[in-house]
Amino acid sequence: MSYLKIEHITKSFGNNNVLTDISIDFEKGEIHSLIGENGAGKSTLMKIIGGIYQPDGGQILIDGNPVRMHDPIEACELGIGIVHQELSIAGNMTAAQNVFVNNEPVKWLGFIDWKKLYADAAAEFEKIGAAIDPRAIAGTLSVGMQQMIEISKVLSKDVNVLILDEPTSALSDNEIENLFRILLELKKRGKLIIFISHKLNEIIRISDKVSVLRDGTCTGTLDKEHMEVRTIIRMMVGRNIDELYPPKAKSRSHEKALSVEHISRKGKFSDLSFDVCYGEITGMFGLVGAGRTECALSVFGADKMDEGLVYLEGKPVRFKNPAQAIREGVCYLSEDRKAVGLFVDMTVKENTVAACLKSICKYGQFLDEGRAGEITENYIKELDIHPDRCAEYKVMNLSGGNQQKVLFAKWLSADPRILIVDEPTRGVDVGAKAMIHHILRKLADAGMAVWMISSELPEILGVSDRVIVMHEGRCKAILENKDLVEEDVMRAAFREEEGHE
Amino acid sequence: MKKERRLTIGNREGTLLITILVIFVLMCLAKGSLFYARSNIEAIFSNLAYDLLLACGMTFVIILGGVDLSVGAVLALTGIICTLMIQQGAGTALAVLSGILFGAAVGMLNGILVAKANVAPFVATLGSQSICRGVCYVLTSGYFVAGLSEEYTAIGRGTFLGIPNRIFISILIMMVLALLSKSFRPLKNMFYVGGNTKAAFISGIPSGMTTILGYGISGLMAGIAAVLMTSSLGMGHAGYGISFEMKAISAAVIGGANMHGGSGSFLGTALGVILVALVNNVFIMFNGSPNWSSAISGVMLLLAVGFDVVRDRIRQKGRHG
Repeated sequence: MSYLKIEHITKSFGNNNVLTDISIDFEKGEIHSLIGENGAGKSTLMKIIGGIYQPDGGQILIDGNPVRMHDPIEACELGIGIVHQELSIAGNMTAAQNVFVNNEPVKWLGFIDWKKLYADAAAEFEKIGAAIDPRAIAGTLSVGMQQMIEISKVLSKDVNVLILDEPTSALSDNEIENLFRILLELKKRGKLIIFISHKLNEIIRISDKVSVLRDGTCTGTLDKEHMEVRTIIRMMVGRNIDELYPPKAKSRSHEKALSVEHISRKGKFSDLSFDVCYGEITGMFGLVGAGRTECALSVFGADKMDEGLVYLEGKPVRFKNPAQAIREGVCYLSEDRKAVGLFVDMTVKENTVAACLKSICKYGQFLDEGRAGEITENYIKELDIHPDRCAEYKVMNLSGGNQQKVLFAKWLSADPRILIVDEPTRGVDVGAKAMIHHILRKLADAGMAVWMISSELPEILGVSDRVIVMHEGRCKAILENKDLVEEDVMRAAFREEEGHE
Repeated sequence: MKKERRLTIGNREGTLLITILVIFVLMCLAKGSLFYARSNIEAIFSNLAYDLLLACGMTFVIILGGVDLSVGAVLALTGIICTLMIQQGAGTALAVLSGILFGAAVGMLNGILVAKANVAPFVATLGSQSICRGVCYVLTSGYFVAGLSEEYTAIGRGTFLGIPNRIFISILIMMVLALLSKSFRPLKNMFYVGGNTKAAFISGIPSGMTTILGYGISGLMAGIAAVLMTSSLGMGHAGYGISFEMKAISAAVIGGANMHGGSGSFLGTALGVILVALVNNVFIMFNGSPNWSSAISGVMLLLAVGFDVVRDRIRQKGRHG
């Protein structure tokens, strides 16, 4: 008898059928992954198991007893806890307060027992091996640390079923290793872990079973021995994606577009020197906190630079603000599309032209709406943005992958010569990911210089022509991507440390 | 069924317009000529001129994600500066121009405090409100500034094509700004800056200048309203415009502006101003005391916000939660 069983679950919002007749069995003491493209219904299904939504049909059984949960609190009482993809951290409170939010240890009269609070939090962090000071203000910690806090928050409630919705998308490799160690430990203790991820390698590595969702139906559940990248992808998209990554640059001109020499920013990165060339994709690999984003922001003029020189086609430049950089044809596609990339309350059209407003003015300063519409329609077609008549839709109503495409449209319409892309495929599904990689290659083939920042090694190796390896604010190596394997890059990143051993 | 919802619930301007028309028709039926007499209509619109101007400026500031508490006091101080200049024998054009520019200058100072010194809009404009109001009393010791030239008072008291100047001017300005805000780049930028300041900066939109411009327009509107008000009343006084900023904020919010920034509609704001004035008039028509007017606009503000909450709930049920 399975511990958690869902039977014939259906759910629709309005006329939109999100889930149709889904049945999956989950056992105690297993890591059961759930995979599917964006919009396949993974999150909705998890929200039903977590009591946030109620199914329209079907039932959920725990230990053979049908249960009905009306809200997350009831789910929690039944031993089901979710760590959501979007973190819910109170940034102005301490790490410990976040762990025990609404669950604080109290003394008489309901006063919070601060000593116990911090001690308990320290114990929780110890349990999952996270090096977090319980008294640190949560907002000042890295995203990875915040995620650890979130996980501790759920674990502190002693759940039997732990649901993790894309927990690794913002974590560094070390943190991911740590997380997996914890998950395996929890599994040994007999907990059920439901793990949602886009990263196939991860899933295959740690799962005992994987269930694949496509368009709101479950296309099957695979055991450990049948898990294979090809099979899973076929079940996800209904076809084979043969070319996971686009081909490399055909001819390399080595014509320098952007060169930086000995640039430094105190506490962020120091003494970086590298070139970005036309017609190729320069990958910049580094773990979270390696200083990649900070470096790009400084070059782009969005942040200061303490020392060093930047050359644009051999001419020294120092952008004071992004507007100057954009004027010179340097664009920066940010990693966090909601916070610093898109105007989610505005329409796709308004977003698409946001970085090129000046160039679509007529009679001086009046925006040419017709021209804006034309540009938008072009990019909707070229980038295959769905739904295809979305120019007047608000961006927040699009799926993650399509939002990312709108972000691309925004920067491409600014007509860049040098395009900096920071984690261009974070949180997008396999199909959109492949599409974005092909777009990048197409742009490079058309002569653009692409500088791609990523913390996903397969992506770096699959897409870039050259790899800049960053670690703790320093440039550790610049490698030609010829038969490069993951170990080479990782070894380069940690070279100095090895030398000292 | 679906279409109907789009007209009434989905679109704030449509809702307001329908509400105004329904009230208008009902009043015509109930009160007849007493209601639609020219004198009553003019009464509805006459005080509306100042509210309309201030609410327009406020809409820009709210779109930017801020708030301007100084407009009422700026109106009073600008009025006093204009009337004092006229009293001292300055030319009408000079006095009007300096008044309007003074209003704009105070607004831009607010903008600089917000954009460059990073002062919270509420605090920055609360400070300038107190200063302006204080200077009013210093300049006049609380007395009226009277004895204005006829040339000056003609601005507010005159008519154009049979419509009182101040109604004509305020509606004209409102319409121009409403049209420009859609396509004039410096004004369109406000939607971007208010929608997502960081993204606007990264996209090369000059967020500092845009913010200064927004507050500048708000001050400018207060300056124009001051000229219209003092010239039609024939005097300046330190007590003019008290709590006008609150009326302006209410009207903008009733009109659909979002206090978090990024959205707002000039047509909506204008309809909000008209609706509040109309409801007040209805109340008086049924022999209610004018003392209720502030309470009425408060109720309408909360109704509008409550309406938003209900609408969002309905929408969320229709979509993925």
